[in-house]
Amino acid sequence: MLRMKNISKIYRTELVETHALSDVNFTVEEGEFIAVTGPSGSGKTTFLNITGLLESFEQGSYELDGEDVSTLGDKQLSRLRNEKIGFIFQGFNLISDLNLYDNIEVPLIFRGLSAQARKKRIEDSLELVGLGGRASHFPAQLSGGQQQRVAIARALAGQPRFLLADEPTGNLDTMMARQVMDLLEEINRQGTTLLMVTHDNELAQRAHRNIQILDGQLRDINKNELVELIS
Amino acid sequence: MSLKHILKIIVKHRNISLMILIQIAIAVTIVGNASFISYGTLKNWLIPSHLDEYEILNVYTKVFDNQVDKSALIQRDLSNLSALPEVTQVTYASNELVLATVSGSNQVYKTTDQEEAGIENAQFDITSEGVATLGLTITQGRDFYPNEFVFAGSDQSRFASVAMISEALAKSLFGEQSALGQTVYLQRARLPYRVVGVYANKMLGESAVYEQHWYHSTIVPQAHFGNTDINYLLRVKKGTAEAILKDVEDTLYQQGGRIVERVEFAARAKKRLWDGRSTFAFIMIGISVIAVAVTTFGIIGLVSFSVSIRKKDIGILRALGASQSTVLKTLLIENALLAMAGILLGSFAALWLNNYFVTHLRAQGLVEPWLAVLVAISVWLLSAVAVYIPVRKAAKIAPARVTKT
Repeated sequence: MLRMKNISKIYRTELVETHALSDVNFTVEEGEFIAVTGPSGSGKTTFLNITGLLESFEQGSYELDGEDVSTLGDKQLSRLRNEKIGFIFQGFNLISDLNLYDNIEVPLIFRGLSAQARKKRIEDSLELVGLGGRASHFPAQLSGGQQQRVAIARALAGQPRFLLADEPTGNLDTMMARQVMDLLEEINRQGTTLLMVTHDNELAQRAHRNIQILDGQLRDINKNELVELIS
Repeated sequence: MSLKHILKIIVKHRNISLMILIQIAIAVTIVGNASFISYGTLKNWLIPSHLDEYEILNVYTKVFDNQVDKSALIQRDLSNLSALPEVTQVTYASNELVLATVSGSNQVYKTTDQEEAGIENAQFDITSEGVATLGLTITQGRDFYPNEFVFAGSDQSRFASVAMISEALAKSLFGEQSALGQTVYLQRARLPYRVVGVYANKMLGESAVYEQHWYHSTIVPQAHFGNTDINYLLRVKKGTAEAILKDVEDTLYQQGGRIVERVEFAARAKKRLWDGRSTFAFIMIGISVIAVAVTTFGIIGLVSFSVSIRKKDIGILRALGASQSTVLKTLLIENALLAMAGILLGSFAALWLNNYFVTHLRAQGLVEPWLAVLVAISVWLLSAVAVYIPVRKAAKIAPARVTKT
């Protein structure tokens, strides 16, 4: 469902050129759970941004759910982000001025869903993450773990083809992190493709497939290598 | 985002929203009033005077020597001025000059009832050539008979018994009824005068014009002397050069015991009449320009600030599927709502200020509905342009902002 060929990304300043990604080839099949790990500055965020259509790339081709994204304009890319991808960020990225209901509703409005359809999806998704009765609360009234569950609910309400999680437990304590990971695994079991970027190798172990990114290059690693990396 | 979300965000950011709203309201208040006053002044300029502005002269003199026989002086002046080759008619004018109210209250009343409010009126007290000097065209009734003229010292309490009034005054006082034979009561003393003639409208009185009774005037065949003012109205031949002003002055100086304060064409008096109001209008226009500039930069600044503290939220919207045009549209709607509220508030403030100017400063700037709508649309467009600059920048916020830590 996702195919990248020879993707490169270079950041240029007046003095230096930084090759954030070099010749990345990467494929994801439907229903997979993939963890991408790597140290700070390895290119994880750039990889995530390009995968999530948040940032453009210089070279190569990228096909998402059968659609070549390299030639698309802002409007089409925005539509694809809205319809195909569910985002879960380390910092939750909820809009603090809006309550939970509105936070989940906004991307559904971009989709053009009716008020009735939106209401059902919002209520169902909040129920799924265990926050059914708190639709009128504001993000600031929730704990970090609860906020991340709202972000997951927002992503799920859009019924995306795949979920992109960026350090989803990075700001959570162990207990909360476990709950959030359990929820993500459950969602993946139900058929949603999951790509998780993390620097936490222990979390990465829970994925079906592990990718390591180092100096802008990707490589598949097996569980044993991952265990070695942890130890 | 829906309107509901936009309104919620406006309420959440109420302080900055309120500042934008007030800024727009102030602009509407100032620009609105400047427009009303300027338009009122411009409209005044365009009202025809029907005067032969370069054929009528106002002459103002003052007698400082108490020993001078004023009656004899006036007779000599009339004779000397008539002798000037350019002068065709001359009249002593003991009350008003053309578009120059020299003495106080010139009200006209329909009755002697002390409760009746008078109507602002220009009252021309003249000698025998007065009607011709002013170039009046009698449309109803007759001219004065020679025996109806009264020429007396102001201490003698002798008054004429007849008067002529302008068509506009006749209509104000008597409506569709004929004014001929009716009695009008002039000045605070409410002295009675029978109307014997009605003449075509001319813009004659300064105070009357000031009160927007453009053509209200009365001609009375009486001329009183006694105080220090000895004034004349002259009619000169068409095309007479400005040199006549000096000739008149020189002629008057041949008689001692007096000073000649001013000799001017009626055109000059008319210009002076409008100048004061134009100055007020120009000041208001100046303030408007400043208000528009301050508002424009203020809106740019406030919206830039508002957007800068919401960069992350805008990035989130972009990541969740809002295109640049969606963000642009959302922020423009948000600010258009604020602009509309500001315009509404400013419109009420403008009406209040207009009422204050008209009642307290005698400004001419009555509210013109079409002008108010034009001002509202203009300020709305101005705010849209001012908002567009920072908002366009905001729409370009990259969705990748959400992954920045």
